[in-house]
Amino acid sequence: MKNLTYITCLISLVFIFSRCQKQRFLPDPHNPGLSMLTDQQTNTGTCYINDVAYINYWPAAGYGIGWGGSPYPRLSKVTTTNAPDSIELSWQIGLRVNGKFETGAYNNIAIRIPALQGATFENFWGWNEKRFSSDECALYINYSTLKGTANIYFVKITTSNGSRDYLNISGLFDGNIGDSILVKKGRFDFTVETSGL
Amino acid sequence: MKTPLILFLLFLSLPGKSQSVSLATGLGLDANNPGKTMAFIPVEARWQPIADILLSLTINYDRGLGMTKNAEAFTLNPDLPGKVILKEKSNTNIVTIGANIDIKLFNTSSTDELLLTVMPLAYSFHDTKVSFRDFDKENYTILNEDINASKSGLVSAFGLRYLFRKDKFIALNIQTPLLRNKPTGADFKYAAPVRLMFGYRYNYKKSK
Repeated sequence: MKNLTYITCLISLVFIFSRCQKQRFLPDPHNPGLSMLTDQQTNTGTCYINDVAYINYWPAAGYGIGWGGSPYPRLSKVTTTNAPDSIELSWQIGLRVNGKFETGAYNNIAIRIPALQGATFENFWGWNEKRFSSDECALYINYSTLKGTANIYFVKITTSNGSRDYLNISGLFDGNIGDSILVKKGRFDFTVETSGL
Repeated sequence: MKTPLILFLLFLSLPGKSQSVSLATGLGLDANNPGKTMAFIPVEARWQPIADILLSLTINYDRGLGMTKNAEAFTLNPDLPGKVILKEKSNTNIVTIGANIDIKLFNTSSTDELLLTVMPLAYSFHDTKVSFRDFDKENYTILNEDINASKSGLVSAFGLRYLFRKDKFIALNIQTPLLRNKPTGADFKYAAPVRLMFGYRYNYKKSK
């Protein structure tokens, strides 16, 4: 019985670590502090906010994708009565200092893109290589306390290991909140869960 | 780059039972990046200090012939096309220094022989230069951009060498990629040259 428990624990650990995803920061030689635009599942999103480089939060030990409540980038549907739904891509942000994550003046980014009423996975899946302008998209910083406009370009959307439960998404974004907050040169390469759609 | 050459020339001038030097050249191809033709002109210099011991100091220089491929770049600017295809040119030069062990497999005649050559551990320098034609870097961002890189690390190599009349030879060998992490951000892997070479061995001090 003891052996069985031991084996079960061992198998569980192997399973957990095999799904554990790490972040890879690939420095962009043209833009100090930013990671390059990639489609290699680096789990990295970077941008300049008022000329300071920000990165998405990702613990050094990595995450097992699929664990609810973790602050990895997430996709969610925002429903509004008598108006089209929106799909929101959001993630926690901070500063990268000597390779470590530190909190900065801003701690969250969300980009909300209008979709059809009753938006589904298929809506988002159809956005591969689609560019949305600031006329359409809203930018939220610090959990909706600051609102502005955004441009976003889904450069590549692919399924993760053939499963529709997770998507690998890569792209570019920028935006502004009035004249006070300028988000520039944003790029992301995330694996996101689709259960929120 | 110059230091290994100076060391090699210094070794040649040492007194003792020095036996032979050999020079070879030919054509090399990268075996580690399928679908991306990267060719080299390899030059190999070997110094075998003692005739009876089939151990030689070897320097390989692989001069890259350049490679062209397409790269994708994207922009958020609504006034510009969202996606453009760029021509990427990259070139890698490799210098490898190590000790070769020759193992005689069999003689095909009194003067011809087939050798297995093994370089268990060597040190290799890879220098890669990348450029993009007509790249508007103010507006566009390249997906999976390859970047200039100078990396070095350990490698191994092995191959076959067929000696004709003790002094001419034909050799085929393969070298592993650098035994270290993948280059930062690069879309390609470290090169693993496969070399087909023809050469001449010069016995400049005959053993008694």
